[in-house]
Amino acid sequence: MQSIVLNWRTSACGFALVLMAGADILHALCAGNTSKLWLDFSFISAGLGGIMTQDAAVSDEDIAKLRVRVKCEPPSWGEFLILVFAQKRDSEGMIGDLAELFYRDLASGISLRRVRIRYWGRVLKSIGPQMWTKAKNIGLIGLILNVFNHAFERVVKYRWPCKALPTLRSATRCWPSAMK
Amino acid sequence: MTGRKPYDLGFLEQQVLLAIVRQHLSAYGVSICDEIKKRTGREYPLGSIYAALDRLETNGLVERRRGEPTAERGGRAKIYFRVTAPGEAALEQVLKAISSMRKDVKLKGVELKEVFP
Repeated sequence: MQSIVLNWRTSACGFALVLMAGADILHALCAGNTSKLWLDFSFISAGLGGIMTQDAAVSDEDIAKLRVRVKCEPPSWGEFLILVFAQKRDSEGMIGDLAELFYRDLASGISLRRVRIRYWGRVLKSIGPQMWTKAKNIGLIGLILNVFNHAFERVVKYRWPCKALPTLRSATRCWPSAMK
Repeated sequence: MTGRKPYDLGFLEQQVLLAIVRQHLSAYGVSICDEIKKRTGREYPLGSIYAALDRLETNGLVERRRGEPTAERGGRAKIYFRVTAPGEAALEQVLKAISSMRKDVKLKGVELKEVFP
């Protein structure tokens, strides 16, 4: 009778991979982006393989790849802030422009951490002028009410910031060059 | 523009209008930012560019059109801008005013015309 011997390191890696891929599937489902789910499932099967056998089915490289895949999209919270603070008619264009600059930075070979910092810098710098324009149009109290109204609408209606743009996100999302 | 006080274009608004005119029908947020940075060396946040575009649109000087979603923008559509006839008139008026102001002006003995032909 053949016994299964669990290797603690491979099992831990497998668990980590399954958990991360599961989280990514949840995120993709929330965002309505199901085009690359097959890759998450392949990571899950690799992770389960790593848990069940003592062969090194899961490597650190797999985990690093998945981590890059999860992080290679513009931060959802940045998009959420733009949606809440920017003018309604400008938010789609601004989010698209920020995403374009994010992917352009990523393609230019800058590290992911730096790309994300630059993205957040652009988001924060863009919010100020937009808020000022709003405040001039509807006044300070109007601005505060408007911001709360937008935030409430996004969080309650769609339950999650990353689902705030269900119609704008599509299956044609840019696949990060880091994964190619 | 008949019977209506002409809108005073600010510095950023002039630059934005000129960038849109230069790009002719393919001007959107990022390209306007890039054009201004390339020509003047100044980098404005996207929020400022969109705020200026909003003011221009409210005054009828530019109009927007929604483009197709593209992959390099994460599946989001581009918003293209175009200068309207009143916008062109307002820009021409401002540029004429600057030209007439700089006429025969000398900076440190050099005629401005030689520096900025």
